[in-house]
Formats: sequence, structure tokens, C-alpha cells
Amino acid sequence: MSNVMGNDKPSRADVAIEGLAFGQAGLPRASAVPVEVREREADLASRARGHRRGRLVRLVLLLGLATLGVVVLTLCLGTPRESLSDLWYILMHPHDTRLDTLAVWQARLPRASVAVFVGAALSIAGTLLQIGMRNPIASPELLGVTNGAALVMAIIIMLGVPVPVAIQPFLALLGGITAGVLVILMNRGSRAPLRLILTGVAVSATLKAAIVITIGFAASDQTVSKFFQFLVGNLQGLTWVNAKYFVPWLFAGTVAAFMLAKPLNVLRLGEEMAEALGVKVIRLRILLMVVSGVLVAGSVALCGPIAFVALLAPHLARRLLGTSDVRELLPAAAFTGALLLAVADLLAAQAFAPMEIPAGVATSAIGAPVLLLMLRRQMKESA
Amino acid sequence: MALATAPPAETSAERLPRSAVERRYPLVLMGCVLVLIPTVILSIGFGSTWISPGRVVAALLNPTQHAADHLIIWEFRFPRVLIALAAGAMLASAGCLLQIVTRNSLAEPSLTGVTAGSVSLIAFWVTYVPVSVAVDVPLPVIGLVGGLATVVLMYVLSYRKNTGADPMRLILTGLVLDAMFGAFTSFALILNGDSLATILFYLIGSLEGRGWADWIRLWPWALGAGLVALLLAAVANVLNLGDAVATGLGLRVNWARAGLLLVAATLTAASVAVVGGIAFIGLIAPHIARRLVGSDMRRLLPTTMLVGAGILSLASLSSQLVNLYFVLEAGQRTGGVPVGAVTAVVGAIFFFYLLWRRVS
Repeated sequence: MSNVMGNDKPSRADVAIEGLAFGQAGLPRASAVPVEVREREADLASRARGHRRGRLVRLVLLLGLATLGVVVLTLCLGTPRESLSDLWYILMHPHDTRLDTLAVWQARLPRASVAVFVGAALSIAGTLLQIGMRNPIASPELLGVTNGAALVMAIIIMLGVPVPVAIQPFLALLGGITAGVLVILMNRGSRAPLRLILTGVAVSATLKAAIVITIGFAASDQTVSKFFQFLVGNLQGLTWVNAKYFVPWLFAGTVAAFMLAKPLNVLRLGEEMAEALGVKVIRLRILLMVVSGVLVAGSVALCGPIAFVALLAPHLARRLLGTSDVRELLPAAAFTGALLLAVADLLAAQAFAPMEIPAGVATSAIGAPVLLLMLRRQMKESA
Repeated sequence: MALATAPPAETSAERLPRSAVERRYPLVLMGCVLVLIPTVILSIGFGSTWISPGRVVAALLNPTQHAADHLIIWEFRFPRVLIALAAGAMLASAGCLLQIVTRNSLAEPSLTGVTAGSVSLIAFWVTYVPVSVAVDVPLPVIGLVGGLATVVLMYVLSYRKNTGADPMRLILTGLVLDAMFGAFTSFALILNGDSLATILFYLIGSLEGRGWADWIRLWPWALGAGLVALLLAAVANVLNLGDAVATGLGLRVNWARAGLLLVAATLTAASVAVVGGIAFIGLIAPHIARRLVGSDMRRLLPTTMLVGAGILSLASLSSQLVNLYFVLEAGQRTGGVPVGAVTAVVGAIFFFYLLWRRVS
């Protein structure tokens, strides 16, 4: 399969994959046209942009409302169950010491907000990687970032290394970025999308094996159980104390992501074009890896690797939005991801009550079939 | 050069004159056996009680004698080694067949979702079907259903009318299926609230505590499916020439492919039902074997089986050593490092090497 490895002519699968992401990208045309035509086009373009901006605002509002609805449901359901008016009362009186108030304020609210923000962080990371690697199935879990961070956390949890909670995300970040940069460097000079994925899978598999070996050294069965829950991504039992460590990571990562939007838009034109326009591609990619590493490491340290959100949210957002313009795609993807994870966690907590399944299992069980359908459809379209 | 489309084409062995490969073949087989014997003896010898190779051989040759270490060897360690040999050979030949069918040298039961599909259905069966029903159906059958369902799903999802199944899409679909079935397995097991440590070791693949009962469940499948695989080697050879040539030679390509897939899934499912989802044997063994004896399936398949058996028993030996000298030494007893973890590390590095070699 020469096309996976080298830069020979792309196979059908490669073309299909390219199409998944870059089909709709509107490229600027060469400007060898009369001035008035150009002005008219510029006018049309700005009007189109205004139209698109309106669509972005509507989409974000809609997604935001849906997320809010899911969060309200999350807050109400469970034991004790609250009615909407009770919930309103509880939210207005945070300092009550009743059981209901404690349940909502100390257990459900932190969990719901973590779901929303981790979902947003993961999808921002996924968007950055997909656009930056020009690869629609690039995602932190496929590029080794997630497993790199998880390995570090495994060593901390399983071997009982005494590391303060606040420091843990930094170490996880180190692991994640090392793995991600390794994958990028191993792929330098190769543009075939599947090759990147294969390298990522190899790195991930190695790291996963290392995680398993760490588990072998565990102190007791209980640690293993705890870690297994962590390994599939779990939001159970989160409190404000855990959640607050995540805030700076989310904030830093998001701001950096938006700052990278412009060079990313240039990169969408292709690597040669971007280099010609003054973007240092390799440097930009490593920077991307660091930024998405920040977002992923923060969330992995908090609730473990949650699969498929980072992969799916950008695709869904792109479909809803109809554009790959990074400046619009980032907020849309963030809101989509927030909604996805909020729904997945609600299902994970309530679908089999009183048993709970980890949120990561729910996202995989929902996400994998959706991804398969998308791939299938794309293959058909490209035929 | 060619990573997936024509896996067996350019190996060093292939470039040798034909007679040289043929002359080498018996030597290679003998070499494999020569490596296997000391591995087996050592792997029986190592454990919390060390038994010297001489005593191991003596005990194996006189099964009726009642010396002190007979019980340890015959009841615990020997069946375990037998299972390692059989499972290794089965997984290796399953990988070899999958590589032919998918025309992709990276195809492997665990990479294409077949292992995950088997494990997943077994997990659901064990968890949710009442014991009275469950005891009547052997677990390999359940695993086979799951594995076959995955293969069919994989094929349907990546199949297109006029061109058939594209190898690249096949792999991609397999990856996603693998993740999905992995999630289903965790789902079943978590809801059941089993001891997660035990389950985790099953997911990864472990030989810990396997005995004669497991061997009895395993060997009929190993023998049956293994023989069928060897009989189909000539068919696989024809298929390897490409669909057009194979059709021209009178082979019904789709039937041949379906048959080989069925055999590969059977081999995988039966071993998975006993030792769990051990990964990467099906990737490593065929590659090594191809280096040694070229790509003629009639020679390749037996060599692959021997190499696979060797790899799994060596991995088992090294996991025993690690557990003996590092894990148990520290006073921790959670089962230690399972053999699946060792094969995963070795396999992942090997996977790297394959990717790396194709680039440079």
C-alpha cells in the first residue's frame, strides 16, 4: 500500500478521507480579474460572510440551549429527584444544609459543569488536530496524546507516587505532548492521512501496553478497579475540588486555540501554499500539539481518556455549519462537544440506574457507530 | 514499498533462487522446534518453586511416577505451556490468513476488531445468559459468532459493488470496530460489577491459572481449524495472485475469501475464549516466517504456526520472570504482569519497525 507510506498518488480511501474534511473548503481564486469584478466579488463575499456569521450565532445559541436543557436534566435526575421548581429554589439557596441542596450543589453541579467543559476542551483539541494535520480522523486518542497522558496518570495512581493533585496535569501534559510530538516527527515529510493514523495507532498501542504493565505492578485489586474506571473515562464522583484545577488549563488552551485560528486557516490551503505564505508548518504543528496537549492533559488528569468526542464533534460542527473556517468552526465545535459529553454523561448516569457506566463507554458506544456511518457515506459519495 | 496491497511480494527470501528456499525449509522447521524445546522446559521450570531442566524432562517422560514435583508440573505448569503453544499457533495462522484475505500486511485479529468482537460477545454471554443455558454451549462457539459478526460487519461496511473491499478502508473500519467492541465489553463487565482486575487480565490476555479443563476446550478447535487452514494453503496461494488471475485460474474468489475468513475467525475465537485477547502475535509471526521461508503458503503457514507458538511461549516465560523477580518480590499479589502485556509491548514495537522500514 504505497500511498499510505509515501507521497504517491492517493488511493480511493485517501481521497475519501480528504473529502471528509476538506470537501467544502472554499479556496480563494487568483486575482487576474478586472477591478470592478473583484470589488463586486468582495462585496458578495462580505455579505456571504455576514450570512455565515448569522448562522454561527444561531447554531451556537441552539446548541447552548440544548446543553442547558441537558444540564438541568442532569441536576434534577437521580436520588433524590427534584422538580424544576425545587431545583430553582435549591439553586437560589446554595448554603442550605438539606440533603437535596448538597446533592445538587456538591455532586451534580460540579459533574455537569465538568462534562460541559471537558467536552468543549476535547472538541477544540480535536478541531485543532484535524485541521492542523489536514487529516479528518486525527484526534488526540489516535495521535497518542491521550494515552501518553494516561500512562503518566497510571504510573501516579497505580504505583502510589506521592504527587500533589495540582501538579498531576503538568506531568500528564508532559506525557501527552511527548507522545504527540513523537508521532508528528515520525511523519515528517509524509502527507498521506492514513500513515499518520497508523503511526499514531502504533504509539498508542505501545503506551497502552505500558499502562497494562503498570497495572501488573498494582498494590491491590482495589487500585486496579479504580484505575479501570479511570482508564475508560469517568465523571463519577467529581467535586469542585477536582474541577477547579481544570479551569486554568481550559482557559489557557482555549485562548491559545483561537490565537492559532488564522495560521490554521492558511494551512487549510495546503502545506506548500502555507509555507509560501510564511507559515512554518512543522513549527505550527508542534505548537498545535502543545495546545491540544494542554486541553487534553487537563481533562485526562481530571476524568481519564474519554473517547470519540474529540473526533466526532468537529465533524458534526462542520456539517451543521457548512464551513471549515477555523474561526467559526472552533466555537461551533466547542458547543457541539459540550452537548455531546453532557448527553453521554446523562445517559451513563441514568440509563442503567442505580448502576452507572463510565461516560467514556457511553461516548464510544454512541460515537463508534456514528463514525462508521460517516465513513461509509463518505466512501459512497467519493465513488 | 508495498505496505498492504501485495504483502508477500518482496522479501529477502523471495529473491533467492527457488531451490534455496525449498532447501532451507526443513532446516527452518527444525530450527523452530529446537528453539521451542528449551523454552517449554524452562517455562515449566520457572515459578515460585524452581525445577531444574533435568527434573522437568524426567517428569515429562514418566507421567506415572510420583515424585515431589510431578504434581506441580503435570497439574499446573504443563497444561499452561501447552495452551500457550496452541494459542500462539492459532493466533499466528489467523493473522497470516487475514493478511492474505485483506491483502494487507498489517491485518491482524486484534487490529481488525475480530478479537474485540469475540471477547465482547463472550463477555455478554457470560454476564447475561443464565448459567443453565450457558453451560451447554462452548465458549469458543460464542466467540466465533462474535468474531464472524465483526468480520462480516467489517466487510459490509467497507465493500463497494464494482471494486470489492478496499484494503485500506478495511483497516480503518477495523480500528473503529475494535474501539466500539472494546467499549461494549467494558460496558457488560462494569454493569455486572465483576472483579475488574480479573476481567482486565482477560481482556488483555493471560495464561494465569489455565489448566487441563481449558486445554480440553482448546485442542479440538486448534487441531480442526489448524488442519483446515493447512489444507486451504493452496487456495490462499491462488488468491494471493490477485483477483483477476485467481478468477482466470478458475477460483471462485469470493467463496475462497469467505472460507479463509471463516477459518481465521474460528482460530481467533477459539483461542480468545481460552486465553483472552492476546494481541499482535498474528502480526509478528507471519512477518518473521515470511522472511524465513518466502511467501508460498504451503511452507509459510506451518512455519508461521511454529513461530507463533514460540513467540507466545517466550512471552509467557518472560512475564513469568518479571512477575517472579519484580512483582512478587515487592509483596504485591494482583496477578502480576499478564502475558498479553508482554506481547503488546513487543508487538507494538514490531509494528513501529514495520512502519519505519517502509518509509526509509
